[in-house]
Amino acid sequence: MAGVHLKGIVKRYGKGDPVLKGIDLDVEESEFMVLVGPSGCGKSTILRVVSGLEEIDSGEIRIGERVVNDAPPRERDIAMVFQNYALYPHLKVYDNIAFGLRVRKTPKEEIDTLVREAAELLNLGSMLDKLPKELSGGERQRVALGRAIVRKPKAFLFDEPLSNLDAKLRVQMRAEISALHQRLKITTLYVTHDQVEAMTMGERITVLESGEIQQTDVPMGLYERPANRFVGTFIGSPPMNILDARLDGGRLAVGECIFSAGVPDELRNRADSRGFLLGIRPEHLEVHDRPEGLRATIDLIEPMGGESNIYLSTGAGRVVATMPGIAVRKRSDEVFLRFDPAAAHFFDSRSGVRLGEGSVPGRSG
Amino acid sequence: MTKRALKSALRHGALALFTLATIYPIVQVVSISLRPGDRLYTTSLALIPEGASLDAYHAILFDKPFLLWMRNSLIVSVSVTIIGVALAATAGYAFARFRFPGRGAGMLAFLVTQMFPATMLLLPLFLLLRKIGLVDAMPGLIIAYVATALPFCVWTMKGYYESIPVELEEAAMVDGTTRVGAFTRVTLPLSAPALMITALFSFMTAWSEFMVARVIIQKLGLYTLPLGLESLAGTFQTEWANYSAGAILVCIPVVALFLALNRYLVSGLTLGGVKG
Repeated sequence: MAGVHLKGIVKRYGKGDPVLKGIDLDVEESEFMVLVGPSGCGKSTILRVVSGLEEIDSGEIRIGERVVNDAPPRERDIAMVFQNYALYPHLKVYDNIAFGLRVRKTPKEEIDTLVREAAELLNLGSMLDKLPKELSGGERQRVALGRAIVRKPKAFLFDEPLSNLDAKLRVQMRAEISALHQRLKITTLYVTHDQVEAMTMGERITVLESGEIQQTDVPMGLYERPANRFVGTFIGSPPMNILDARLDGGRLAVGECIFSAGVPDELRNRADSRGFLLGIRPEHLEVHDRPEGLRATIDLIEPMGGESNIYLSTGAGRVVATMPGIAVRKRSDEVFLRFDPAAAHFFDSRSGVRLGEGSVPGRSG
Repeated sequence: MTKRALKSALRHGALALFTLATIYPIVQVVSISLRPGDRLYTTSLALIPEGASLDAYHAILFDKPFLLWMRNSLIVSVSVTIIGVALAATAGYAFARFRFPGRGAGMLAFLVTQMFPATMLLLPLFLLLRKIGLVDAMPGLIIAYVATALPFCVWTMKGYYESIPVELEEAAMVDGTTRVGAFTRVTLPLSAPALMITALFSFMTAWSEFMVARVIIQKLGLYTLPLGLESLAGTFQTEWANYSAGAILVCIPVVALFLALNRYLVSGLTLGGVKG
């Protein structure tokens, strides 16, 4: 096992803009690191350069103590699980799992022991004689996992391994992969576009956009202290509400509503000349009838079972609030929105960078 | 008769007509080969003629250098098949998987050579072979046939490789193979159907070809089957029975090859490897 360390990685296809614009990332030994971001953000490219399937234009890739910039994939001792499984269709499950060991000229008896061990761990024991086409999606993905773990590589690379599975199977496999990591403790780089997957699986998460790292932190760190507007809205579902805000006599104002709470000093200094953005998570918005706070009209209610998402229009823009239980209100109802400014996030309106620490002194509401 | 039955009858009638047109010459050749004497024309409609005998088969096999022609044809055809498949498998892979200067132009050039009638290429081919001293030599004929068959084979292989997900090779390389290893262990076994088509096509190109062989080969000892058969047609007399028996015997290895390779010519070999 070994850590994976990237320093100033630049990758460009052809003559266009680089897809990776100087990536610095340290995945510690045994860590489960999730790379998350929208399509085209460069997350899969990071996996491909770490695996050696793509060459980098500049920077340094280190796996353990070894710089592997110029090493071909076979010398990097990593294992990769692909989105479409990439099982060898002409080989039985047993031979699929044994493939890497055979290529590495492992003795036959040892291969047999290792393959059966891996199959046992993944509940594939009864399928060793089947061809991939005889397996279901979940089983195929488990074979792909088996092929990865059997070699006991320095690191695992997962490229959206669950996105081809149906919702129920995805939740199940998510838990299986997490449990597998708990057990094997192999350094893992896991790419997904699904922020729920990222939040539930990652020990740390790196959020990417446009080939740049936006933030690397533990899941709750990202949720509670997003470094910028992008991270704030990308992590969390429904996404964080973003509203234009300003200062009115040193107090926070959104639309026609002026809150009695103050704002952090840093914000006050910066925001004097121009407005800023207020970010508030749906669960921190309180919908009530007293004429206090931001006036809003209900556009749509989504009952989710345990909670309801309420979509509203306000003078400052459209927002969504999450309430526990079944909403008793209905469409077109006039309501008011209130929130604890201590739970609010502030971002620069141009750069989107986080302002202040997000906790407002004198949390009087 | 209902409209549907009429349609069906018309369809089957048309198909029967084409089937007849395909089968009639073969039946006719079989029939001639069994007739005693060299009778090309007869008023009898019997498929198996009166006094049918296998004399012609005996004559062609043992009185004529048929086995020598067969040997020559086999050497040429098998060589063309092996060289053709090896070159097409690797060239097709390069065209399918790599991006390099001249890739598009190369594929186009291959296609363009297919537009010319073979006879047009005959003269330059002959001049080329004469320059390198391979006229009237088996290697010369082999080179000519490989050159003729290769464009089609490369296109076939390229097309098939492109239907194989590149992730399979990437998985193999991450698993520890070189690129060549990924090609031979994963891509090539999965390409069996295309390889078989390529092999059959290369074999057939060489096996039944007459024109190029006629121009390049003069020595009697190097005659291939088509040249040998043609030599049975003399200026004043043609040994029709022997000729027909020879034609039937020429077909047998090809039919056998088809039957042997048939089971590889199945689609769907890559099913199940990747989602999709």
